[in-house]
Amino acid sequence: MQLVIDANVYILGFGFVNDPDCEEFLSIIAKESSLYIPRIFRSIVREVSHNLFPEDFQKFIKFINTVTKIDEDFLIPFELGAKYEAKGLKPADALIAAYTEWVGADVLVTENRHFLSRHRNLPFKVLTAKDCLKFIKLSKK
Amino acid sequence: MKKIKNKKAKEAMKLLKELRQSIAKKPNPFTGMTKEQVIKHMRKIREKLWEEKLATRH
Repeated sequence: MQLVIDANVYILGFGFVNDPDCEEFLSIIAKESSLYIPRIFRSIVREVSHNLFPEDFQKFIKFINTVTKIDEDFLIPFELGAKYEAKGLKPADALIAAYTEWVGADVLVTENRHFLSRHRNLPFKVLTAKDCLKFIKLSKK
Repeated sequence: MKKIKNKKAKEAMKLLKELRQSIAKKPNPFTGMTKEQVIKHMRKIREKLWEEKLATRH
């Protein structure tokens, strides 16, 4: 199962604020990245790094490179982004939706309500970390 | 193969733990914020970075 994880889930999962669901979710990704394959692209890395000290940014990159590889933004087809903008997403959100479709991910994991309220008719699920944990547990049964 | 997977998982957990510990030792940019405020803050950063990206293209 491939998962695109939004920047807010990383930030919440690192423990900046108390969010046990995002923390548990990231721990599962770390433990089982061969089963739950995280996908990430450069823009998300930049958003996460914006809140990290350089030393922690290096640790974050090491973590990411252990569980997956970083895709570059320019690889994402422009047409896919335009499609999601036409559906009402802001350009930066449209890029994430486009990336999620382009890599064929099953789930976009985000705490962003703008995504969560526009999840109908998408080729992937949009779940919060809490709901994704439930989804993972159900898929194991 | 299982050993490789286990090694990778151990390394990833170690790095995640180190990252969380390192973050916890530093001034927290989100002090006093609720989860909703953090999400809103992250949206603002996204928009700011997007505008910067567009500006470099024009």
